Amino acid sequence: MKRPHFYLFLFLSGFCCQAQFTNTASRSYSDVPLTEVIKEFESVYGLTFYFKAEWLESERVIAQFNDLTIADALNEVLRDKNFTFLLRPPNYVVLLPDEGSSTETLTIDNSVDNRVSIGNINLDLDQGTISGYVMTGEDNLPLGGTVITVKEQAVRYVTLPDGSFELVLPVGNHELVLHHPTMVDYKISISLNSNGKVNLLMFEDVTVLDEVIVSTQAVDQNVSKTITGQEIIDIQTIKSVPAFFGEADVFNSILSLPGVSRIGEGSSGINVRGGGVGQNLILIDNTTVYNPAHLFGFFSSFNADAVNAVNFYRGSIPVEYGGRLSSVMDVQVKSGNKEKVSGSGGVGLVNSRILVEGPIRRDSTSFLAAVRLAYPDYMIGLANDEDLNNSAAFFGDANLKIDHLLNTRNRISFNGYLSRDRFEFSDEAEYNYGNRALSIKWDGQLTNNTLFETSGSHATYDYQFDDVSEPQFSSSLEARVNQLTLNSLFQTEVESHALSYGASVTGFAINPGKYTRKSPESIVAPTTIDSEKGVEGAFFIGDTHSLTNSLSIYGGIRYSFFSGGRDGLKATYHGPEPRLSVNYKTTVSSSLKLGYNRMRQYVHFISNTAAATPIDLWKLSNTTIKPQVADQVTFGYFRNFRANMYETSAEFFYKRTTDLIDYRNGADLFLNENIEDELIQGDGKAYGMELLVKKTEGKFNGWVSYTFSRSLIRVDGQEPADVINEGVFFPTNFDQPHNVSAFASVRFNRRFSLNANFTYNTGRPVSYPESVYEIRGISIVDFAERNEYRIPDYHRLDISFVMGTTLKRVKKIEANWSLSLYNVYGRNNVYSVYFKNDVNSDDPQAYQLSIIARPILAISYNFKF
Amino acid sequence: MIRSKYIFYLIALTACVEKFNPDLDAADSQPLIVDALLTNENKQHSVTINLAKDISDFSQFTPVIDGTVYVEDSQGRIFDYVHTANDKYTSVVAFAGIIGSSYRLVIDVDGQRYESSFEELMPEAQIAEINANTAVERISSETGEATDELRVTISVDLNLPVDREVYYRFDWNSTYRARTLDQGSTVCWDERNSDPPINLDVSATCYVNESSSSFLRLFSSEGLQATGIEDVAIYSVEPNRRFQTKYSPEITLFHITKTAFDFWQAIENQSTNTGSLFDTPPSPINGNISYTGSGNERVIGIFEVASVTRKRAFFLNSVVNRDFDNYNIDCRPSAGPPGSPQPVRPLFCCDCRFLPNSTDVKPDFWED
Repeated sequence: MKRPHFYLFLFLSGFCCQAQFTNTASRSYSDVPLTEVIKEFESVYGLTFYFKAEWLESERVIAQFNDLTIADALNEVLRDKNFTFLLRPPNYVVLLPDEGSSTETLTIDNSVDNRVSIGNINLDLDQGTISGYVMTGEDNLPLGGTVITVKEQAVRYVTLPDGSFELVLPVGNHELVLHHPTMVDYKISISLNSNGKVNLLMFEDVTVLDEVIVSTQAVDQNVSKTITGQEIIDIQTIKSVPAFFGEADVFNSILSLPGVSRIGEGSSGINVRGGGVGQNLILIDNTTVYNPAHLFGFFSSFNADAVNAVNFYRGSIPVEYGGRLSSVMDVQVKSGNKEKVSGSGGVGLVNSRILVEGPIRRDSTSFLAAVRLAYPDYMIGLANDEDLNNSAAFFGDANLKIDHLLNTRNRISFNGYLSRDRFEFSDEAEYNYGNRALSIKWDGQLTNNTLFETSGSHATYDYQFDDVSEPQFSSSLEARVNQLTLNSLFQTEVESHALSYGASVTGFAINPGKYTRKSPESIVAPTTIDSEKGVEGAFFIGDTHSLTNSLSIYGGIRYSFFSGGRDGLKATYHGPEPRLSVNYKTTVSSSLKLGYNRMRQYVHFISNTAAATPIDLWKLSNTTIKPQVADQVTFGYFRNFRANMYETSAEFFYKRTTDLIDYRNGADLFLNENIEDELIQGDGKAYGMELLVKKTEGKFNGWVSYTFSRSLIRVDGQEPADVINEGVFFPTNFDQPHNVSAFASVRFNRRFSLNANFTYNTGRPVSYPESVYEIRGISIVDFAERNEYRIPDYHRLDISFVMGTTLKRVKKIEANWSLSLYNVYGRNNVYSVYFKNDVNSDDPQAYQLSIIARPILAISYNFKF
Repeated sequence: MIRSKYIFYLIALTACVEKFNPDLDAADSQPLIVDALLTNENKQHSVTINLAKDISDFSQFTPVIDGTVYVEDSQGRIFDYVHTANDKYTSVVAFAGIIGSSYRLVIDVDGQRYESSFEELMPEAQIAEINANTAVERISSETGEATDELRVTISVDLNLPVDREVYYRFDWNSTYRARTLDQGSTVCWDERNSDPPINLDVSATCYVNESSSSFLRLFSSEGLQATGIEDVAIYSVEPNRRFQTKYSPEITLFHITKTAFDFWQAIENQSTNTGSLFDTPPSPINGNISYTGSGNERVIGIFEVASVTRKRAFFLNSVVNRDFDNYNIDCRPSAGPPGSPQPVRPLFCCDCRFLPNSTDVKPDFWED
């Protein structure tokens, strides 16, 4: 088969067989299209040609030869044509235009090594210039700030904001490594013959919907990257993982990673390496998102169409990130297409979405606008409950991004994000909540080796809960978190050092609750909980340094400080947050990594329900509530096989947390002006092992991961009320020791693909009563110990089937149908266990509740234009 | 919890609830359970003490019979209690708690001493009015099916102090007058194939008493800003024969301390736990009694000190605006056992004294 976009030379490593080239050829052609000749050579002599189809469109062959070697025969075929060719074992014939330089774009094929030949091989030169652009594979947007390392030369280059670069190198073989903060690294081997122009795409073109496998998977970033525990989830992976009601969900992909879990369906947020949901820093284009869930946790609040990639850190966290203990999830919104108007969208059972992008001023300014609107009433209608049937729900979100290249060295982008949820329960209550994020970012180049990124962002999360079930008590509760952040990051390349340094400052203003009457008849007392204000800042510097070819180190320190709290309890805290990662490559395809992190969290998520709700609180540290501090040590072994086709890893982590927030028994947080009295702080301990096997390429790919981890807490205060479970370590609500996650994708052809996702985890801890007693005739169960038991284990299989509407490569609208089946075998996974008095028994009876106790079929139609 | 209860409804949209038998460990030791009430009524007050039991143990609770129990007031006066029956201890003398005084309960069992906190006896609070309102309520069955049912809700109007928060617990009992429509008829006895046990010509009027069972109704003025509140629902009943002629609820108001209120509220929260992840995870409920020693002896319970006031009201059947015949007092003829004369009616249809807790002696409080 022809590979029309493999227009440059592809080497094949690892084996050598030139039998095909030693054949002799005898043919006769009389004005035959060159493409036909090539087909015949492939068929008769077992060769594989690489060329670009349009080169050959008008070429015809008149030739006759007998008993010539393949090389001589090809010379005859190509006589008087502007092509040269190269023969490379075992059977590759690469056609090259004669110009000697190429302005074509490189793409990468996953089935062979990333090796290219540049320039005219007939020119006898000492050195050549490679110039071009580094761009996103998805939409050809420039990737300024990409670091290109030429290994043999031990030098680094940084692309300009417009993505351009120019390398002057000796003719010969070179290994280039491309690194961009938002992209997966990849290596490319170049055989430089003369001057050449190359556009390097860091992502494969995914405009063809059925070509879902991302080229960067072929790279050994898991082995070579210095830091541990970083994952980059591309949009295709996000869309591939089957999801609830067929909605592509950022969290679904993250959840399939080892070390990441959630406590149940319909619960928002994730638990990372034994951390709570409030310990994850979730960003959208540098702006904090406080509630990343729609409809109380059923759906992610990110529109997958607008997402370019998700950078997820759970191990070593770079110094530029801070403020949360467990992980960083950096969602990057796509920049609009600067060349032409295009778009995408979809219609599903729960929501529909549309995205439009295009140039405002060609080649310099673009926009991207995306809207997603949901109509979950359909879903609610499934319930066998008249109250629910009388309820109404809505959720939606919108993205707007404007990207402007000021010049070749500076770029400004504006990002706006809005999410909103409304749920009206049968004329009794209404929830209304959402995020708002605005940011403006300036990327620029100070010097040839220094880039900077300065951003300002404003994030808001607010909720309103109206209770109108009884006129006398009708009330409205409003709360809001405001955050304003200024951030500057500089990156300087000095010889073999890659420095990152800068500062950030964030101002917080939290209104914990304003309680008002909702109707004239209401007698509730209007109340406003004292607002809280605070400032968190940090200075940071980090350095990635390659000590040798096999040993690299990332070290850095972030010094953070905080001042604020509520009136009367204001406090100031500060402290260092060292970060360290060491990568020792034991072979070219394996490495050992060691990491250490300290994280400090000054803003706390306050929720004493098992799962986070949209009406939970955020609270600043103060004299009573100390910052939470976590120290994590990680160790991992990474090994790739078969030219990175298979990735395997084993990672171990141990984390200790001080001043972890917990709650007194029976804590009442609602409108509590002295909420500190209900909080207790303890020590956390988490440890685990994460195993991963991943197949990155081919028609069948996917991964299997197994995690063993524990998450424990000890609360042993001075007062009896401050002691939980006799002051010994006990499991947190999200301690799930065994977790198996598997994802598989089979691409039958360019039109059909099948994806499957399987999850298993140990049941989450719960408190069961061991005793029962009676007071005033009321049977009461006694929950003596917290989290001593577990609900039954959880497992679930989901599948999705994607069918493209056409096989045509050139089409005005590319579309597919996606059919998904969630909970294929309809397992009654236990969501919770509770005890109630049974009408037939004097003693309380245990009940188990399953919330998605049947398979859920969904269909969606997705398109691009 | 109130705020999150609606979320649960949504979560449960494709839900399935099943009985579950968790494999529970037997408790190493059972906590002491104390239930004590001291009021401003002049009487012999009582305390019950027993041990909790394993949740899988279907036997009776083990009473604690050899304890030493007394109540001490803030002036140092001691009121001794003695074991009188099963798990019950009764004060040796009748006495009334004094409004404004504080009391604590002291228990000694096998040399282990348990004490409650001092609890103040709050002033008497008054029920301004008792109301009866009818409404169609949606009643959900265990299978989730909902049916509309006419109910009568008994509620109270309360005056609220503006200078402090008050905490109330309510109890109720009621009496209704029942008239037997078929007094003396033998159709009820034919079912039993026997003679009527009593004369048939007795009065056709009875007074039936009902009282709350396993009942907990709390009210707090926390978070409210008003001098009074109307229609605080206490309980609701079906308007069957209760409202045939006249229905008389008596509401008891216990003015309790915040400590007691918190205890009862914790119990209420636990009993309304729906299993949602948005519920607060269950936790031990300890009450206001604690072990004074250095070990980990657990005690659960409440020493409730409360002033008590009662109010009674009478409601005619006009409240429900419904005529009563055999049909809606459950005296429809129905198929009897095979071989018996058909149709038959329940015994109480022929003699109202067969209604539970029924008497044909008019109570003193009854107003015709």
